Amino acid sequence: MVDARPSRRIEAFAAACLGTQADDCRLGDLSEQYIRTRRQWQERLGTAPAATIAARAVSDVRYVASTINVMLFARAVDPGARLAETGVACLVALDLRERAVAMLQFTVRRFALPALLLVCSALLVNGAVGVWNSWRQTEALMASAQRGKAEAAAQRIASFFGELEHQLGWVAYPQFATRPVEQRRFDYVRLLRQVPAITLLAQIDNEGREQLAVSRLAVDVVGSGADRSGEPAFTATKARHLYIGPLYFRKASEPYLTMALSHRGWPGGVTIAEVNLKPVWDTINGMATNDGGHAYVVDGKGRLVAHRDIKLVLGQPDLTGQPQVAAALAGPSVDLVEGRSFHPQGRATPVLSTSAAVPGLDWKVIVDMPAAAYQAPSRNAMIRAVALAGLGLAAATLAIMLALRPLNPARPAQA
Amino acid sequence: MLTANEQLVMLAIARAGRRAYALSIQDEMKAHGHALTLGVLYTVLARLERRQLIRHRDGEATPERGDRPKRFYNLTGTGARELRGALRILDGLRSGSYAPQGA
Repeated sequence: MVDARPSRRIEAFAAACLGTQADDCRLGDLSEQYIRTRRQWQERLGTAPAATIAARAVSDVRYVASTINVMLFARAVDPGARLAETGVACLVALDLRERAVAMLQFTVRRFALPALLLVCSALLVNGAVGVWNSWRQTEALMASAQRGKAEAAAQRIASFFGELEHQLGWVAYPQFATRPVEQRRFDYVRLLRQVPAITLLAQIDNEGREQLAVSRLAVDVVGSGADRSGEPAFTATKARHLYIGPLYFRKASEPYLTMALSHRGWPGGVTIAEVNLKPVWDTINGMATNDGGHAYVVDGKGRLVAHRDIKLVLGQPDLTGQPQVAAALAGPSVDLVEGRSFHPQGRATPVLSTSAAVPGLDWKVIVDMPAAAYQAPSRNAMIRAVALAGLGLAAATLAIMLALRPLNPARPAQA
Repeated sequence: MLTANEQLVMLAIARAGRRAYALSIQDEMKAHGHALTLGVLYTVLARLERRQLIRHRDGEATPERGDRPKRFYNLTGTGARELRGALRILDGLRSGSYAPQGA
């Protein structure tokens, strides 16, 4: 077993420690002891590569420990012993010194080392539990932050529509239809100035005829009498005070919807507003996170209303097949649903989603976070926790083995 | 006068005959329940040699020892007498027949 011999480096270390030549018989003893240790552990552990590495490590450690032991006695104990070799008292002192060293070794092995290992194991296990708990807290914090983003976006969208309804309320009072046309036009122009998101306002009388239309993008029309009684914006406000229509696009890029508010009292009528949804898109686009998370909005039928990718929204895909969208549509708000990303060109990847309902609308704000963003800290924490717990258990096992290991008492010499 | 370790080492050398070297002495003592580190053993051997109670001769170099020789130890006549005297005292003390001088 040529390869079982100690390495040249370790032998050079021993020679340097002992301050001797390479042919010193003590180095031979250490070398032989190394080979014996290596064989013993190899037989005990087997011939697997890991076992060979372990056997070599144990042999190296024992070699170095023996070298240090020999050096200690050769350089510290023996010179003192030579000075005190005359007289019985000195002999007794030498004997006591040797016994003291033996007792010190016994004490360290029996008490100090096990106690130290037990303390270390307790600290390590405690550390592992701490890491585990901190991971759970981190995950809960991430989920809470994600939910907070969804709720904040939902509130902002609800505020946007609430403000629109409030502003439209200024032109939906009972006498509005009876005022002179110039007064009504003035009221609409003032409203357009106050609310930049509105691009067109139209007054429809109780019969569904258009009486006035004021627009930012076209010429104002007065008393056209166009029949708009069949439009949902008119018919829906007969049943409900407020109507919010579906999404549509102008110039295949600008998101719009129709909003209508019925006039209270006699003679009735409806004010219809064309609303630019750019502020809603800006809200959603501003929610992208560094770890790949993003938000989007779907309506009550699962169609995409707002997303950071405009092309995707222009396609108006039906997202009811996505697990996170189906879960969001099923309830008011959802915490951490497993879903998958969607993109025509991209590969679907697992995501964890939270959603919040937009108050007053059937829309849902959904925030998707890549599952990997959740798994990365948890995986690291798991590895740390398992490693610490493993070390702790190994230290505890070693401590118990050392404490229970029998020490052979010295037998009296026999004649 | 011999210390306990000196007596034990000399006994181990006596038991091994002319083939006693450091590791065999250590094995012999371990087999009889007394562990002795190499550091202590070399110190005791050096001390016994200085007192001319043992002597050494170097054997052949072997590959197992990195081409270094074994150092064999054996008791000198003085050493054997000293050991017998120490053991006689121990036997006497054990049987209760030992009476120290001046007692």
